Amino acid sequence: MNFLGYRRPDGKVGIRNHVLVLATCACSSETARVISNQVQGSVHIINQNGCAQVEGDLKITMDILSGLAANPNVYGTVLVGLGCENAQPSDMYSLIQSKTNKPLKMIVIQEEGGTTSTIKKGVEYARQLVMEASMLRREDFPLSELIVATNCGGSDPTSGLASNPVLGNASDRLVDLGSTSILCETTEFIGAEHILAERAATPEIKEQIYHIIKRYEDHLKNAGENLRNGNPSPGNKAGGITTLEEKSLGCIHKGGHRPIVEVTDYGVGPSKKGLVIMDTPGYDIASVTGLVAGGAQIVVFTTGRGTPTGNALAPVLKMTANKITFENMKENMDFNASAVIAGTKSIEEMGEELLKEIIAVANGKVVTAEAFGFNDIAISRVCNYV
Amino acid sequence: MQNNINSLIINQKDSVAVAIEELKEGDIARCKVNEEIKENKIIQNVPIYHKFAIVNLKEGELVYKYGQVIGKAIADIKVGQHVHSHNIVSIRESIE
Repeated sequence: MNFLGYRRPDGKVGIRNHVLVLATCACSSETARVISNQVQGSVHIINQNGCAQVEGDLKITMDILSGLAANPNVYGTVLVGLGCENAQPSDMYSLIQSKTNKPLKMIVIQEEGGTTSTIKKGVEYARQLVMEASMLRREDFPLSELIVATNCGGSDPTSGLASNPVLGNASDRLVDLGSTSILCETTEFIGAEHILAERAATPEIKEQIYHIIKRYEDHLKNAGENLRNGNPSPGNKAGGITTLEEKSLGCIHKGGHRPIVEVTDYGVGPSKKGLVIMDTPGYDIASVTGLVAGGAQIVVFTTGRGTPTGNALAPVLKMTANKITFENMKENMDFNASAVIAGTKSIEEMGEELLKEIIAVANGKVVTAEAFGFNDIAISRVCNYV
Repeated sequence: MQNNINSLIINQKDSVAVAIEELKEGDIARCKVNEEIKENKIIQNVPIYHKFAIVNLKEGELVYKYGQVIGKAIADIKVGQHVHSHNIVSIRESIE
């Protein structure tokens, strides 16, 4: 089973062909947005960070931003800096180059002399890159070149009953075909961690699974907070999920049944093929941002209550097994798994259908969130700004 | 709905089933367990996708779904009653 993708000079394969206009910091974020709006075929992200951050936060921000530029769905990047920020444009430039040799341009507002000169140069760079990118053609690649990330948001009991098990089945198929599948959302392992730990490929990985959960809980406790207040959410509860462990037991189904071969930190890509865990918040948008920074070309997203969420760089394929949600929010949904609850199709049958849909999206089929151009981003944080 | 199934049990060990339609007090809940249809009388309204008890539970007893513990009862619960935040709590959330 193959898919059609774009070969990058760094060897990776993209399923989209975006030019990214990337702000190094909040002060250049608006300028980057205006540049991107002028150039069809380019995308930008809103950047709230990159300055006035503690060391730990600055590192996360710079790793995530450079990871986005390195994502295989990106043809090339126009980096837009202010000039005085902590995430220095030259440092960001070097960091991106350490990850990928794809086309990279840089403009700095304080050097260009203000808004309109920066925009003029940025638009010219972005235009050149978009026209170069348009010359590429998709080629045939094996599924081993795909990193498929899974996520759940706005969960309700249908998530645990059907959509996550169907996604887990597709994840197993992908892993068996040589792909990589990333399971994340650490706070939504709580109450189900023993099940995941049993599937660790080595004792060291088992320890790492417990460690990332404890580290997360301790981190919140040290800040004088706890995660109970956020999870389960009001929507989870209204939908019928009562406790965090009930939610987690439903969530982990999306990771399927294969052994867990690696545990990575937030935004860090897998170094192995197979099922991998990435430490991310349960917060959908922050976890998707981390997954895409880690190199996932596609995110498959189960929802019970429905969400419009999308990402600038990677298709977020939305699926639900809640028949009411599918009808009610049809324009935000890509795949309907409610037949499993109705008993008219099995998890295995739907898992196979979902795999076909994943490959169709990889080959270029646009998901609803892409059609709407939704561009959600959130970068995980250690603490307050300074 | 096939065979008028209106609820699902996930695992043999489970204390609860999940309504896949809105269930009203007095309805008969039907779910499939190993090719057999199991029936329970619903004694409280159960919103769609919410849980109802399929065994009697005493206050303090562990509650099972997915074959795993999802919490404990904070009141006595009878078969056919709605199970949610008013009568069960998380155990894991309160671990320090």
